[in-house]
Parts: sequence; structure tokens; C-alpha cells
Amino acid sequence: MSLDCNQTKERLEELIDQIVDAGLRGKAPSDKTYENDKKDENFKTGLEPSLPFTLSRECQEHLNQCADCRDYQTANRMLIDAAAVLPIQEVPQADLLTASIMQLVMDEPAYASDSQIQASTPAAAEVLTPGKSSREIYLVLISFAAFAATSAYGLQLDESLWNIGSWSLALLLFAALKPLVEQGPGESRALRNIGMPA
Amino acid sequence: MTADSSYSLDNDDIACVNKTLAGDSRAFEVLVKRHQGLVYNLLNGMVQDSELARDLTQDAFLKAYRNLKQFDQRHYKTVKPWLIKIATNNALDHLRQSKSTISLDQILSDEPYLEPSTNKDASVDAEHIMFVEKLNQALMLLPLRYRQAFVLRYQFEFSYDEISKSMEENENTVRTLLFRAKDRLRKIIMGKSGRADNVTGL
Repeated sequence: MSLDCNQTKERLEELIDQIVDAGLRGKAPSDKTYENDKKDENFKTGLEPSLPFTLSRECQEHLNQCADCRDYQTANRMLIDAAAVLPIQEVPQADLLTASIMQLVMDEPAYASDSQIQASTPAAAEVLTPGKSSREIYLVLISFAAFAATSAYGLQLDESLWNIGSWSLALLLFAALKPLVEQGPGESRALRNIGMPA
Repeated sequence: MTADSSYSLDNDDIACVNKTLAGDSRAFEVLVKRHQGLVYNLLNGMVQDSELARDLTQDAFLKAYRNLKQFDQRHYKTVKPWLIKIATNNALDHLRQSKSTISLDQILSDEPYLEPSTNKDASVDAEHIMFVEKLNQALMLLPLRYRQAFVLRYQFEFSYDEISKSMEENENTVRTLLFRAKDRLRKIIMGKSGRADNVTGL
């Protein structure tokens, strides 16, 4: 049973899809011309006969009888083959374009997971070393000694007044020492900047 | 700045995305180098201005980087359609703002060789080259969506699935767009009859 025009055109579209998906356009022999193709009643688009992309017998029969469908076939073939060789422009100064894109990317905050921050940042590890933290421990000991001294005096005077006074003094002492703690180990600042662009 | 040699061309795009998300920005450079040509060509086809296409390519990759966490690997499967979607949406926004248009008359007057040729003595190769030129120009007369679908499918050999994800359309719509694009191209290049011998005198 022969196909009608719509069915034939559907088959032709399917065949084109198969050829495009297989990446087989432009594989025709160089001496193959569109004129030859028009005369060629088997729509193989210049492919080797062993390739499986051929039309069914019913479809071929319809094409033999229908000039309109043959024109459709040829016109589509020309469009699709020409599309395969449409000019692809080289990116002018491609390396510069890549570099400019990467410059913009590097200005963006980098993606990084929390585990990477802990594992890969030397500053994070250095903060935890005994040498770097000894200064902070020393300052805490001083503040504790000051608090203990004021507490000892507090036993001899009015308790509530000295409680307030000793706590206030300890607070003032701590506030005074805080800038020293922050300025000392530079790594503390580095730790705060993890994840920010350089 | 150069990509590290440890990133070979075989290193797939998804791996590059994952490495970038893990903090390795050099992996993104591999993606840029691999796809900037495709993005640039598509955008240049849309805006017909190489400098603007270059700027839009740059914007597209920057947006891709910023939105890398939103890249849905299960949906897109590959990076290419996702990148194309970002790039073309960006270009469409630009075109909407600039409202640039190109008329048939303008193209025909600027490119007289668009008129159907009657030179039957020209070689077949020359006719083929001319036909490619005609197609290149005729594409500019198509609505952007038709042109985009046609170019992605028949120039860059995207699958229907990739085109549907690039254009955020379902596959049936993509097939319809392609059918209409070819229909219009036939009519533009070959005349209303759509007969091939109207163009090259074959």
C-alpha cells in the first residue's frame, strides 16, 4: 500500500533526523551533486549503500509518483546539508576572552565547602598551635589573678559592694586586654576572611 | 592564566562543575574554553555584532558561574543546554532592550546575491557555496525561536532533548519549531513554490 504525501514527508523527516543524529551529513562522495541526487530515486543522501538509512519501499513508490514530495525531499536535503557547513566563526582573540571571563569569575566569591575551609586553610590550623595560643592563655591568667586579688580584699569589706566592684574591675580589665588579644595573632583575622576573595 | 594540564578534554563537564563548586575555579576555565566558541557563535548569530556577541558571551559565563549551584544535573544531564539557555536568555533580554530589528528589504538590498540566481553555467560547488550563503542570510529573516532551533539542531547537531532544555520547550514544540523553520526557509530561499530548482538553477 502506497503512502500519502503527509506520511511520506513524515518518513523523510525521520530519515533526516537519523542522519543528523548519526552525524553523517557531508559524507557524500565529492562528485555527488544535488542534480545527481534529484535523479537518484533512492533517498540515501549520498551515503554508502550499506548504511541503514534508507526509505521504505512504500515511501519510495510514493516519491516516484509525486513530484511535490520529491521537491520537498530535495529542498530539505539542501537545507540540512547546507546547515551542516554554515560558517562557524573563530572567536576573535579567544584566549583574551577566556582570560577576561576568568578574571570576572575570580572576582566573585569562590565556591568552597565548610570541610574544605577547615582542612585547607593553614591559618585555621595555626591558630590551634600551642605557641600561638600561649599569649591568650597568659592574658587569661593575669585577669584571673586580678580577679582573685580583688576577691581576697572583698572578704574584709562589705560583701555586696565588693562583689560589684570586683566584677566591674574584672570587666574593665578584660575590656582593656581585649584589643591586645585581637592584635596579637594575625591568624585570627585571617580566619575571619576565609571564603572571601583575595 | 591557563587551565591546569590535569584537566584533559576528556574530563567531562559535570566533573568540572563539581570541581568548581568544590572551590576549584580553574575547573570552570575548562568549561569556558570548551564552550565559548559555541556560545559566541550562537550569540553572534542572534545579535549580528561580533563585539556585542563577545560581551554577551562574557556575561553568559559569569551568570553561569554565579548560578552554578542551581545547575540541575539530573534535569540537564550535560552542561551545554544549560549554558545555551543562560546565554540565549541573556541575549534575548538585550535584544528586547535594544529592540533591534532587521528587515527583509534591508537584507536584500545589502546582499544582492540573495536574489535567485539564474546563472546555470556556474559550477555546482559555487552554487552550493552560494546556497549556504543564502541560507545564512535567510536565517536572519526567521523569528529568533525558529532560528535558534534550526541552528542548534542542524548546525550544532543538538539532540531534541538538548534543544528542548536549551529553549525550555517540550520536544513536540521543538519539532514544530523546526518544521516551521524549514518551511519558511524553503519559501524564503526557493520562492513560494519551495522548489529547489528556483534557487540554483539545478
